[in-house]
Amino acid sequence: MIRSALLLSLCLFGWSAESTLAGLAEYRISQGQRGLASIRQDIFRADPAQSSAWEARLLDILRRPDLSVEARNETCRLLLPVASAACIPAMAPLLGDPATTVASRHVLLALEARLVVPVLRQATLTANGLVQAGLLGDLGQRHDVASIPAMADLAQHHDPVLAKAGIAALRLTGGAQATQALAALAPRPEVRPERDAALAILALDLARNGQAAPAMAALAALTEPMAPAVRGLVWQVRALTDSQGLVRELIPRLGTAIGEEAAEELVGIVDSGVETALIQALPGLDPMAQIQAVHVLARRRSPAAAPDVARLTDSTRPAALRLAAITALEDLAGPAQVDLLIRLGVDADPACAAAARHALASGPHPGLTAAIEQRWIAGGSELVVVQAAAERRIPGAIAALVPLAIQGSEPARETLGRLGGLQELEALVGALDGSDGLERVVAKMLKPLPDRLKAVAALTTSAQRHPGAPRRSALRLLGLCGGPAAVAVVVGHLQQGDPEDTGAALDVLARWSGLEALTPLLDLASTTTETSRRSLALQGVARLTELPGQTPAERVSTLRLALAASREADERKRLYAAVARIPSAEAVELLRRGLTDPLVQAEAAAAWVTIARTLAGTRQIPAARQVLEELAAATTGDLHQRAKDELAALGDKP
Amino acid sequence: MTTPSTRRQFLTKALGSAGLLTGLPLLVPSRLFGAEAPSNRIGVGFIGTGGRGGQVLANFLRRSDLGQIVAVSDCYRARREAAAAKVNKDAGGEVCTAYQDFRDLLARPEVDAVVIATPDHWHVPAGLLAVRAGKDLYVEKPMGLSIEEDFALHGAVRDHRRVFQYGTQQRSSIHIHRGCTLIRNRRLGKVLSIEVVAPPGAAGGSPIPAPVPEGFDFEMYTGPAPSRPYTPDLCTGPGSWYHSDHALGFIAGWGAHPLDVMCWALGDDASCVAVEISGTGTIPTTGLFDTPTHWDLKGHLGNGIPFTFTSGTDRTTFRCEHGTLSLSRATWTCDPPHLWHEAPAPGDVRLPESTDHAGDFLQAIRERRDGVSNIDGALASDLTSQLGYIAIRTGRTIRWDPVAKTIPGDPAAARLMRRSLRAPWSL
Repeated sequence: MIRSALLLSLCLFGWSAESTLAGLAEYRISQGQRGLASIRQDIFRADPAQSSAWEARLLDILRRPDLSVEARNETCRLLLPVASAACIPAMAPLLGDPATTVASRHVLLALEARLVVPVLRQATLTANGLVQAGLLGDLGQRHDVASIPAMADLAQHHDPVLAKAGIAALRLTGGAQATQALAALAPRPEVRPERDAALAILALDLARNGQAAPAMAALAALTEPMAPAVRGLVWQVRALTDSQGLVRELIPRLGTAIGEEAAEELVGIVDSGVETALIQALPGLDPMAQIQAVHVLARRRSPAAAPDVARLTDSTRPAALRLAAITALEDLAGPAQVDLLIRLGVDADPACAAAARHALASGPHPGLTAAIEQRWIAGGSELVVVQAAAERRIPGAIAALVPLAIQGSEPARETLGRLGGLQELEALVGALDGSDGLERVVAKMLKPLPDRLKAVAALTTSAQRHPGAPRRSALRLLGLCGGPAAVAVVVGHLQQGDPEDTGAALDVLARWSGLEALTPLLDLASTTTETSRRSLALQGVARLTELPGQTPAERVSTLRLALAASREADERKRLYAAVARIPSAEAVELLRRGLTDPLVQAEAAAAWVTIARTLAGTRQIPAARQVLEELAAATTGDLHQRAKDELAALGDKP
Repeated sequence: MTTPSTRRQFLTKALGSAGLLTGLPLLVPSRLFGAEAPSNRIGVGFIGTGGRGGQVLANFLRRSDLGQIVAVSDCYRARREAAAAKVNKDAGGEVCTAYQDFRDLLARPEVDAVVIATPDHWHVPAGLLAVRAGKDLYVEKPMGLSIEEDFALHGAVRDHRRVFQYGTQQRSSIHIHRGCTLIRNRRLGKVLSIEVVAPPGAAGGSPIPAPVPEGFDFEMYTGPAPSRPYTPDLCTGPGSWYHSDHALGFIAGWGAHPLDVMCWALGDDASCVAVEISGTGTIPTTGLFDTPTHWDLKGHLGNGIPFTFTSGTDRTTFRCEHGTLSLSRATWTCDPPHLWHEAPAPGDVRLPESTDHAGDFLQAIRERRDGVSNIDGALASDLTSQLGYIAIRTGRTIRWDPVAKTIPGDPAAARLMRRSLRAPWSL
């Protein structure tokens, strides 16, 4: 047996672990993690079978009389995962020392209460001040009823900091006896908030555990005026012990300064009597209290209250009350309120109208959809009905919004933009009139379409059949669709027809978001004789070179072609700015040509420097240096000096 | 289906925008309902005004229509005085008081809500004191230094019915909202796997003790953490993120962000917490810092979805039946792209909307609802960080029992779920 233990010990520790442990005894805070991290890892990751061996060695270290405080504390921390009852005697003397009490309490925290409580209690007898407060706090966490008198003594300490720690220990202990001890404390002004809050929370715990009598006794010990936080806890206790009495007390408070709090409490009370009491009281409350009451009924989702709440929407009521009632109907309305909500949907008060439409669209009552469908089928063509039917995805309703949208109804357009599918999109495309409104709706509908080819087909037809403003709308929308089919249609309109149409086609192409536009733009730039068209095309090319999915070489090659097509200095300046965003050898090579062009050499050099800075920013210092040295070699005068300055700024960075 | 909070939000907006309340003073239910007079603004206190605290403070200053910062506290005198001066300059008067001890700030009845942007070890202890004092709470991420701390704050916020906002401001980004809504409503089909990536931490820091600088309350800074000598790297800059007395490192400090996106998309409940997690991590062997710098973890969530959690960039990727959606702070990718634009349908879960994290918190206080970054989501994301940290520390596969709220079958690992706090601080 002994031989096995020795063998195990040798296997476990060996020389290095033993020497590391020996180093632990010499640990100084200025070492930081050196020497500590590895031993912590060994212990925290130890197999449970190794725990007692580790514990024994750590306790050996703790027994050394010359151990520094920091070594003692770190050894205690290391004990945490491996501590057993065997370590308790070693912890006992550390508990009362302010320098080691936290670390030793931490070790004991890991052990069972029955093992630890006696030693903690013993330590409290000789400790005082903050050390005693910490020990009593731990006893509180272990619900040690026997320590309640000591905690109560501390709670009466003349130093408020210690008195509050005593109150906290009683709160942590919990139960009827700790509650009684708190209730018996004199409510000294300097600790009263802590004492009352602790008393109220313990009363709530008791009430939750079915101990109504001690809970109510605790409430009786609270002092007036109560802080709002304490009052909230008291109401929670009452809700568990005397809910009907609480409801009777709260309803008259709805119209007072604490009406919001009373309403919150009424929402949370688990008692169906709340609805009955509120509905009965509703007509007799003043408007302010009625607002709170309908909030409560809505949040409690009390459909039985819908008729009573609906009565508060009539136009003779104050505007705020009407709005509150209509909003409450969003949660409460059933089929019986549909006609009312339809009428309110066109109310003169825009806030009320919006609330009613919202209620029709989103109300959760399961019968609402069928009731709205019934009104719609019966010929309800008003926007409110169609909109509600569409929001509820009643078949055909979304399509019914199309004519309304075409006639200019903004609500119909907004709803279609969110809900419309391909069918509605095709119908709207056929009606494009060049106005911003319809184009915007179609644009919004395009985004979620999984298959844009059909949308492209519809737009293509529209662009072909309807010249002028509708065609230009269609071209812009094709730009949003993207893809080769759409680009082909737009390119087809570059050269023919109305100048406004061709201009619109070029605008769209220059803003294209896919690489399929690259070739047509380069073709146009190379062939057109109009400066403005060429410049726009080249801008589009420069922008497209920034799209992902291209290698640096491909991007540079594109820009080389674009430079070849350029005629104006301004065009070349923009293209060199695009080259600057490609940190590669090919890009530098392309810039070299720009240095020989006096009209753009400054821009080419600036792009060159930008590339060097990008390289430096991504820690490619040698490459950055080489690029700048090449620039310095290729230039004279100011540009040469600039390259030198940049080189100097790079300094000796590795 | 609409949620009650959405409805309430709508009502408040409608009432405010229609100007109805101003014409009907008798109908204003309380001082927080729609009124915008300076005296009716929410009083905000800042605990921690350094790096991140300063940024959040600037965000709150932009919402002075809803809230007025009336108090700041910081252990660094220069920081708290600068913050108070900034607020006072912004307000054009002496409206903000600076405190060395945040308990004095909590004692002010004018403070309705507090923002905690301290080093991580203070988040839960200070948060608990604030909640018990009846303050609503905005807490920077991560949540606590232990699983026990996380549950303590969660329980206190719920028991005291406090409004809570977690500092995961991505939830106030339109594209994160949209992406999470799509996943929550299965627009890309069933989620097959998730990849979560967060930036790595750092090694280093000097462990050499130094004199405590003038104007710095090191005792208060240390607070509930174990006492140790002052070193500048422990208390300034990124150092406070990487020492285990004060933090878990970026696995929690930044991991909170992409994990939070995962939780928001999946439901903000126990089902999106890891129930099994294992892997490796790199822990510095020299210097001051001792939390994982890099990690490579994998496991399963409570809902059965496999996930990985690694250090790298900052991204949450959902691989689903019908496509892949990847969300980061700055952007998103969706394949196939058209799914990104799908309109919501009736019956869809509608996640709360916000484009302004500070403003959402203040508005939530007015409406007594959860902030967009609610405490359930905060707990869920932080638990996975904590469990990953324990997996790295122990080198073992960690299993989590979400019902018993413990690590079963590994008592040594379960011991890492708690920490002792230095008195007089407690949970």
